[in-house]
Amino acid sequence: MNESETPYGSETVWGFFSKKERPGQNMGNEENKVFLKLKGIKKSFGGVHALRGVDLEIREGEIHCLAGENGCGKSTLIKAISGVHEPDEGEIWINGEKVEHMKPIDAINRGIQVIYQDFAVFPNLTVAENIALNGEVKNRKKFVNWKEIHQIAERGMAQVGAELDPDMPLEQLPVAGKQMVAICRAIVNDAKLLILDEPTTALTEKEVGKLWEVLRGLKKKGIAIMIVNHKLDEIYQIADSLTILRNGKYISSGKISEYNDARFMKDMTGRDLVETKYDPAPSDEEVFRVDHLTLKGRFEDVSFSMNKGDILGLTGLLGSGRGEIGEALFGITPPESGDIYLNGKKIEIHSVADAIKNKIGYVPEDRLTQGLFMERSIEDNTIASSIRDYFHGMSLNEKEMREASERWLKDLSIAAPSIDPPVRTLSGGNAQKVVIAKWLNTHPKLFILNGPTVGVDVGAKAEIHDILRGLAKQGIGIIIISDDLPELLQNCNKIVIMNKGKVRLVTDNKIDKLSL
Amino acid sequence: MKKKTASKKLNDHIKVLILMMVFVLILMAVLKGPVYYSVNNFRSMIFQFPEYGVLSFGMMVCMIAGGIDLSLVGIMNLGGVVCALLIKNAGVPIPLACLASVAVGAGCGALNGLIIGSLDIPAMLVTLCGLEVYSGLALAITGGPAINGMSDSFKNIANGSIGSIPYVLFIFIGVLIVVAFIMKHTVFGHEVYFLGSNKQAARYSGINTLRTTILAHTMSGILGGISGIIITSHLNSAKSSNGSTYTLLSLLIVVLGGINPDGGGGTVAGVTFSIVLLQLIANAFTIMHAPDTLKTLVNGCLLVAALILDKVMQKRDMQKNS
Repeated sequence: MNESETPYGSETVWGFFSKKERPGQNMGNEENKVFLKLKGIKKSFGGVHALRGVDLEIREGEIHCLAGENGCGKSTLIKAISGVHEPDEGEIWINGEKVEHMKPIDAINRGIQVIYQDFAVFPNLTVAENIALNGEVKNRKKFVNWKEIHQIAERGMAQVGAELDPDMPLEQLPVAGKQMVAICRAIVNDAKLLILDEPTTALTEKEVGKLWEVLRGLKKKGIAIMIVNHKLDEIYQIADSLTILRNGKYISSGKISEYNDARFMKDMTGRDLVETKYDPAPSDEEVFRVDHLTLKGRFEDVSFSMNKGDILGLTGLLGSGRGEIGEALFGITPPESGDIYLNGKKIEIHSVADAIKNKIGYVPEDRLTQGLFMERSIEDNTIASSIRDYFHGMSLNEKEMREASERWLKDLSIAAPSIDPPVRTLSGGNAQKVVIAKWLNTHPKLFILNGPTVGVDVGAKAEIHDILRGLAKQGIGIIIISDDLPELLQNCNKIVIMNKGKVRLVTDNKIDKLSL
Repeated sequence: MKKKTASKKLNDHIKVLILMMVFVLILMAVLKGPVYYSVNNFRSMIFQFPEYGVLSFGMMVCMIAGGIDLSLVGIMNLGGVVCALLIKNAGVPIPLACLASVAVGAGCGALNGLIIGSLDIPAMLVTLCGLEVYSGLALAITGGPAINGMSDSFKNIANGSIGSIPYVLFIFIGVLIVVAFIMKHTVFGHEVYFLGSNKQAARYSGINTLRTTILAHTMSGILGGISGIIITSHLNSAKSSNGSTYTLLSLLIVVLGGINPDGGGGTVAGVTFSIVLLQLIANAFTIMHAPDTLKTLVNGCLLVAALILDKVMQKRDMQKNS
């Protein structure tokens, strides 16, 4: 057991900050057999080259990380490995054997199991059924032997080290539990290569720690593991080796110890990223203040204030009340008591309409279901919250609406051919910029962003941070709600840490990372 | 300006509808040319489609908003009964009686919207109940038998014409223009699309979803009321069971017209073409003396074909984009 190497043993949740500990780096084993080898994989859709020659090598008992910005071809590569897309060119070698015209079932029979972001589990079935039924179907069993199902499930859970109630319906499990079930299912189906597509996006820090533990256990059993991820800290924690793609091209590959932050960023984005800490000129002009804000059961007696130029970070664990404060200030679940002051004036928030009237903008946590109209155009999404401004006399001024959207497309450098395609066609970073554009078009005085860079690649992340800094300098109050501490430390000059619905600490972010 | 957007937004779906119309027109020219292409035949077609055409626009608005309005026929008959009673028994002037029908429609629609929006009950259930309630109310008012024999000037609304052009065509075109304008050029119209695309995102964008839901159903109800005037005048009779096939017909029309059954998509133009296409087909059957049952079959096949075509085109688009 390498318990001591996981930073989660300690009580501090923020332990993952100590980048010096990189447990993964000395665990790779050069002698291990190569399980999967890809040579010069190319794939295009219509005229779009999704993959332009990708090499990859994954060994047994190795945790390999596939990294790259959104749209770099990671998902297409996974689909090529799992037999969903047949590559136009290139070779796939599995276990030393060249495989041609691979279909999904061939990949499964050779032990390749992919766990997608939605886990592809059945919410209304129990844990045991989810784990074992796939195998029953695969083996063309006609009747279901319930005793056997339980046995298979328990064996799978024991192998993985998951502790779940086999009779619990899956919909009652948290995201991490569903993920465990998906992993167990892969293992009972004889996975030799386990591919996880961005496994940590919906997990809390603690759950991520548990996931790493499970993966390290599987690795010891000789299973090859590939993780798609672009969170630097997590890659350092878990991966033995790394392959970076950019624009469908293979950029570099090697042991994790060969990489540092600078090289990683450079390989990912193709440019040097200069990360500077946000440090605004001090100001006495108060922009926003809340006093004793309370919503029973969510948060209690929350007070903080911010001056002109400030970017305030609001953080804490899931369920600490950080997100709830954002929803409350935007009127989705209005606060019960407490005072709110915007630009020195007391305001009342009882509904979303109140928030909008007072020029408060809110980027919700879940971009896909709460932030965007996926099937509608970039233009429609951009003007969704400000459409009333374009109604002059008798009708909407379409020209003005188009001009406004085109301006934001340019100003926020949203990568899209025009404002007409549906938002669904955009990558995570660009979609998030559209949500930001929607609110900037309302000319907010206070802009609250809940997880502004979740699922956003490194390049776009830096661009979004730049946008927020620019807005703060103009005197717009910016509140970033996030569990991404590096993001907060880098961009906020004031951080509020929440715990169990209460403010635990307000810091001016002058202190060192490690002392948190 | 209108031309520009029209040509640009002439999507694949409308092209298919036009193609189908051309196909029917050519086929009928070959089979029954002189009868089909007579002024009288076109007049008879125009007398028929406005009543369910107006109804279909109501269905369209609700479906774009992410719901459905199954109560439209109930609203139509309740409006028609109220209108007929006021004219025949109370001697109310025709315009006022028509207004009353529209008001009844608006009220019924608003009630639908209020229940759907505030209690979050699926529109399908609420409006299905609405159909029963409003039809039942119409039946209770009439006590069973139809109300017949209104004044000739009332009868003229749906049966009279200027030269050889029926009045109802003007009513239909008027409704069409107003509906198209509302959906495209007003804040409310855009909010309906937003609501249907993603209700949660609409709420998080500051759109008052309850208000928009109520207004969408009120608009549908008003169109139901207008349709009630037309059908009552057309048949010169009001009762609770008129036009009972129109619920399914209007559903067929909007889906065939390219309205996304999941909400948030589709155009007024598509629905308009779909209304005309179905009238052309219905008329073709009448002229060919084909049995009504066959018409149902063809309509059913058309709907399935439209749904399949939509999915296929959607998939093609997705692939283009990925």
